[in-house]
Amino acid sequence: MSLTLPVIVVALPFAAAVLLACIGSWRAGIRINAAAATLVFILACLLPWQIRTALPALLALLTALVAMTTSWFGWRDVRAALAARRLDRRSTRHHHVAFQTLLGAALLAVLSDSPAVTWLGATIAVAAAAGVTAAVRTTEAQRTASRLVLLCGVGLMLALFGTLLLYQAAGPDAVSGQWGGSQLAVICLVLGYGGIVGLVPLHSWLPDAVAEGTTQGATLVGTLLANVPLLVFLRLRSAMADGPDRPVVLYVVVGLATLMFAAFCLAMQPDIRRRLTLAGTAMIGVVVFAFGLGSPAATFGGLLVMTMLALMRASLFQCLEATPTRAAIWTRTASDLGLTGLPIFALFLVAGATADYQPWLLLPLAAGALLAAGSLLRGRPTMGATRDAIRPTNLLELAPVWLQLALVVVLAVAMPGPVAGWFRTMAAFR
Amino acid sequence: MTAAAGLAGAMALALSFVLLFTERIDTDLRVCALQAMAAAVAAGAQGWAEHAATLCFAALLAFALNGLALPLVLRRLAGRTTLPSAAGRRCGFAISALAAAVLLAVSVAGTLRLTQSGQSDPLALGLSILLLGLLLLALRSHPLLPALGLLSSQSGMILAACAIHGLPLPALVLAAVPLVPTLAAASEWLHDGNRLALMPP
Repeated sequence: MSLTLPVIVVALPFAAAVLLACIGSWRAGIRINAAAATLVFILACLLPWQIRTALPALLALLTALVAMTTSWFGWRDVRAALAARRLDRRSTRHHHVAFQTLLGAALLAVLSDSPAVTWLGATIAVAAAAGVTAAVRTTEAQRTASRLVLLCGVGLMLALFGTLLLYQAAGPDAVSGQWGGSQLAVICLVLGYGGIVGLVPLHSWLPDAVAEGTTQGATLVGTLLANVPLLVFLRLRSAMADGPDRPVVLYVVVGLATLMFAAFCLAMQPDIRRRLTLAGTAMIGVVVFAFGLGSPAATFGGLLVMTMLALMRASLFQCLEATPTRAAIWTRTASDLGLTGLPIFALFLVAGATADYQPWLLLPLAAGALLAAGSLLRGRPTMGATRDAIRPTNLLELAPVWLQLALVVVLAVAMPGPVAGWFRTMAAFR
Repeated sequence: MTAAAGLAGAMALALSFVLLFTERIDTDLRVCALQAMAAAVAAGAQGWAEHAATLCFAALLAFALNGLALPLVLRRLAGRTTLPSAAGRRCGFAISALAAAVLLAVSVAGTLRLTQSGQSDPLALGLSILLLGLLLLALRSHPLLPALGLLSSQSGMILAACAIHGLPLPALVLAAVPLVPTLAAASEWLHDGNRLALMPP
């Protein structure tokens, strides 16, 4: 294997994980973690010029960006977890190793063309996600990590069976599988990888894993794990025998069921981290629904919502532990309002394609999106700081959040022509 | 599928049913190891008949890892005093048997109707064992059952791999090596190790 840029981008986090495993000091660990994640992002910025297909490049870029901005909060988040005795020195080292392993595995799964390597990457990512969650030294976190392994393990076994069936479809002469197979393969892959992204019916681990982990762990588990299954879903539908523009009923049903279920749970959930996760799950449901509709317009909408959701979710998680300054309160409010508006924005993006396919589907789609938006608006949290507790603004602390929010605003209201062209290329499966 | 491979595969399927109804966890472990060995023998017999060296290699790997190494590790874990010796049951005999029969019918019908032409027998066997292994997780409760159920499902993978001609070595290795069951076993081992060392809230 030649030392190409994608290989370096994938290998770097694993090398950093090995280095972090040998470093005892948690302070040095935070610095190395942030430096490695930043270097990975810088290299990932070059990927769009190196990779033929646009979609893996976008997802790798998104994964590396979220990991980089999350790692910059290491000083704040790890220190807070140490002070609260949720982490100790040893588990901080485990946490950093799992952080880099999760990043490397997510990049491996996204950048590989082979179904088998993608599955292997997803398996390592699930193991690392369990490691990030189990690093927290509480009984609940340990139980949650076990549940994560169990439900994602079920998903991974189904996905492995589907992956083997892909090779059956590729024929005896194919060295690597192709992303298009029998209906049974599609069912196994959608249900299996759906468990990793938190789709119904294997969804119940995700809110708990996000609630019990550290803030950094919650951001990674909530955001990075979602990219791999969504890429698999798009690759599967792009290779379907009856053409990539035909609707896929399974995607539509699973997406709609996830949206409705998450929207109802959201209306009854008081815990802020679980609410953020459920809001994300509802939006992932809309994304899968949009991919199922099949038209380039719906796929464009799904990709846009997926990108904005990853950035928005990362911003909100990073705001959770922010020092209560005036700027932090405004930033948090802006992020909350952005997430609240996302279901409506997504509805606007996919309504046309839905009406073209089956107009009656607009009813449950709109009901789910409005219920999710209404629940988010009603339960909008406050920073919990009184006027006296407000501290002087530290602009550097919030810079990564602003960067992500600025990207969301640009994508939503003023997408530059080349970026729009890039998204259109991806929506057309080229 | 050759007669020997079919016989060994059918034995693995029968052991899936036995797993659903045994009481003690050490018996479950023995049955699971035997099932993994039967599935590996089926794959080996099929590979021998087809002169497929890679399938024989995968069968050897599955025999060593799924049939010997992982069950031994799980046996050591089960020997710890903190774990109960019997697995709990979430449903009665009738419901368990009905669920297993439905899954078996779904597997066979699904394989026949939803896959392309080819060898459907080992594929149906593999899917049945996979789903019955996952059913075990839903019907029984014990800290070691996630690893056991996933190990049983892994035996289905190696049988499914027999049905796919020309499967490349990396995919065969993934079907033979119990990555996910090992992850579940490691999770329980860490959980058990951390149980007494947890910090006060």
